[in-house]
Parts: sequence; C-alpha cells; structure tokens
Amino acid sequence: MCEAEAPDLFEVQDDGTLKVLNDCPGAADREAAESAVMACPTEALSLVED
Amino acid sequence: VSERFVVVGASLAGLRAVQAARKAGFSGPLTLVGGEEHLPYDRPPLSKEYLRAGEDGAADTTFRTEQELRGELDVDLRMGTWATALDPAAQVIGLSDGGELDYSAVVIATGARARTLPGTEDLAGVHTLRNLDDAIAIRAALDAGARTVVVGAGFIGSEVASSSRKRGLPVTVLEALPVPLVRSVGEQMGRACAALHLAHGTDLRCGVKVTGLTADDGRVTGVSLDDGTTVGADLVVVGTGVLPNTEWLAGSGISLHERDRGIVSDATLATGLPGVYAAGDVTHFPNPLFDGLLMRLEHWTNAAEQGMLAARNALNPGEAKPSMAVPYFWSDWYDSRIQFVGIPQADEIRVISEELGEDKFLALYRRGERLTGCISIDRPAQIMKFRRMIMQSKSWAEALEFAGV
Repeated sequence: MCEAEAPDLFEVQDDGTLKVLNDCPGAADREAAESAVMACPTEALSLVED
Repeated sequence: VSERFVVVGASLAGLRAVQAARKAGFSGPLTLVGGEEHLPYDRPPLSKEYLRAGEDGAADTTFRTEQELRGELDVDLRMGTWATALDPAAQVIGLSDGGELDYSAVVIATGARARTLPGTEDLAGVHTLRNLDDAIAIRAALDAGARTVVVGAGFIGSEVASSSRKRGLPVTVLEALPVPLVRSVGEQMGRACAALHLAHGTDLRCGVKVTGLTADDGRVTGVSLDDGTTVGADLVVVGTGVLPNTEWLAGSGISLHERDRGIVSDATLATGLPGVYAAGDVTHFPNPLFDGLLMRLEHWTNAAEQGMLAARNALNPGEAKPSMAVPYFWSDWYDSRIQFVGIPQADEIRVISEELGEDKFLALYRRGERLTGCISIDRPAQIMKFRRMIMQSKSWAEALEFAGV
C-alpha cells in the first residue's frame, strides 16, 4: 500500500519486506508520506517531525 | 446551533474519521459512538494471527488506548452504545442508552454484520467471524481441537480454514457455487485459490447446499447437505457475506441501495442529508476512477481512506474531494498471500503466470482498453506496481508490456 501511495519513498521487496528509499522526505513528498502512514495495514510506518 | 461532530461506528473507518477531524484542525466537541464494548480494534488479524495456536494467548489488536483517544484526541467515547435513529431536520442522533446527540456534522461508519444461518443463532459451536468476541470463541474451540466445518469458501471462511489446518485439525469447507470467489475475483482465479485448499489437506466441497445443522443438547454436531450426507463438526463457522448496518436509519430519508440496504452516497461520500457523510463497508459510492461505477467495498484500506475523507469533507464541504482509490484487499491462506487490486468486473482476464510458465499466480483484468485489475499470489513486490498503473489509468498494452507478455 505504501508503495502505491508514495512510490518515491517505499518499495516492497520480493519477500514482502519494505525497502525505504527515502527516510527523510522533503515537503513535496509530505502528503504522500502521510497517506502511506495512514494506509499501512500493519501500522508499521510513522512520521516524525524534525 | 450545535458544533458537535458525531462519528457513528467505532471500527477502523470511525477511528480514522475522528483522527482526521482533529488533524484537519477541528477543535469542537467530537463524539465517537460504538456498539461494541471494546475500543476500536483491528479486524484482519482476527481470522489470521489471532487464531494461531500459542501459549501466550492471542495478541491484543486494539488500535489506540483510551488515554490516547480521550486524552490526546479529546474524543467523547460512547462505547457499548448504539445509534438508534437519525433525525436530519432536528439534526439529532438517538442512542440506545436513551440519550441524544445534536450535531452539525456526522460520519456514518456503522459497517456491516455477518449473515447467519437462520435458526442456528442459539446453537453452541456455531459462529460467524466479524467481531473480537467471535474470534475469542472460535479460538477457544480450536484450542479444544474442534473438527471444523466452514460454510462459505469466501475470504473469511478460507482464512479460518487455513488457521484451523495449521493446527493440524480436520477442516471441511462447504461452498454453494461450483467455483469459490467467482463474484469477487472471477472463475480462473477462484480455481487457483481453491487449489490452495486442496494442497493443504482441506476438504473443499463445491456446489453443495447446506440443508441444516444437527445438534445434541444445544450443541452442534454436524452439517447436513442436500446430497443426504452429514459432515461431523464441533465448530461451524459461517462465512456467507455481510449485511450493512442501516436499520437504525429507517425514517431518516437517507438513500439506501435496493439490493442490500447499504447507504448510497455520492462520490464525496455525502449522503444527501445535510452534514451527513458515510464511510467504509456501509456505503455504496460511485468511483470516478472507474467511470462512476457504484461500489460498496469491504476492505481495510477503503475503510481507512474513506473514514479520513468523509471527516475532511464533512468539515469542509465546499472543497469536498471524491473517493477514488483503487480498491485493494489481501487474504492470507496457509503460507500464501492473495492480493487483489482494482475491480473484478472485466471484459477479459489474462492469466499472465500461465503464459510465462511461472508458478506464482498472476492475472490481469481489462475493461475496454484499460488495465482495471490485478490478482496475485505471493508477489507482493509486483502487485503494488500494478495498483499504481491502475491509479494512473494505464492502458492494457502498457500493462501487458510491463508484465512481460
């Protein structure tokens, strides 16, 4: 799901695990990152401000 | 005039609605009404991990603590309370405890309940699986080594069968249709899914009709079929679809679908009653991504996305956005994950894995000249790429090229 929401940030691997392509997304990717967090069925993602 | 925002239904869509309301800056009174006593919890694990054997007991699937909901989100929680009526003129919702809530905006997320086998409601050992309490009872029966019979080879029933087989228990799955899952994924795909049952020792019987249950002393002992046979059972799990929970809306003037009495909303999830929006399993909506095809989805991600969207649209109707996600669901059978994106209604379905001579199942769905669906078994990396292509309305030719055929 996260890859479909934010393909620049995440890529699902063949074994089902997740590769994070960019763990420090800029403002332009923020909405996509938020969508990915809310859409993750495993609630495995979170967004931290810094 | 009331400022109150009421969310009716406290599962995933309802939870996402209250979260989104606060995130959108709504600071007024926010009430979440939930019929179950439990705080909002995650349902997909109930037919999967939750049923696995283990000495530590089942994992808690509660989404957020009471402190997070009441304290951080400042939500007025009304658990164990049903909405019983909605009066759109007075803008008041009636509650099962006799109370009332006036409102300026509402998100209806009352979901759906499992269909039961008529006349078997009071029989011990017969369950549907929708709620945590159902899962607790089924888990206890599996712990006791129940011979399991599943009525309906849909996704829920098949997941229960998988979980039961993993414990080494005998399982029979009874399906009225000649091929399971025809309506949700099509015939060839239904066969591929059925093959998973057979490969794992589940006795799948298609084209059989259940005529009744046998019982002894108020407890189920078997399932009778129209061929005159009876399958012995200690546990019967009925997975034959759901009914939207809309009875409480009788007299409200809300539009209901003639087939299943689900709500009919517009693409922005507005119901037509002022300030009243709907989200998740309870509502049909015309999806603009598929030429306005009216759909009612029973999927996790749809509930999450529509809960958020309905709340945002209710708070800002002037800039309401349509619900136009690509439907997605997954189902875990034995050691395999079935994933589906898009819609199953197709002009053509091509089994790509067969054409390529590959083991892991992959099929693509075409409507007109567009890619509109994809199903796969154990191809998690690929399916989301096809979901993206469907979202972007990619052509059938592009999809085939990407698939390598």
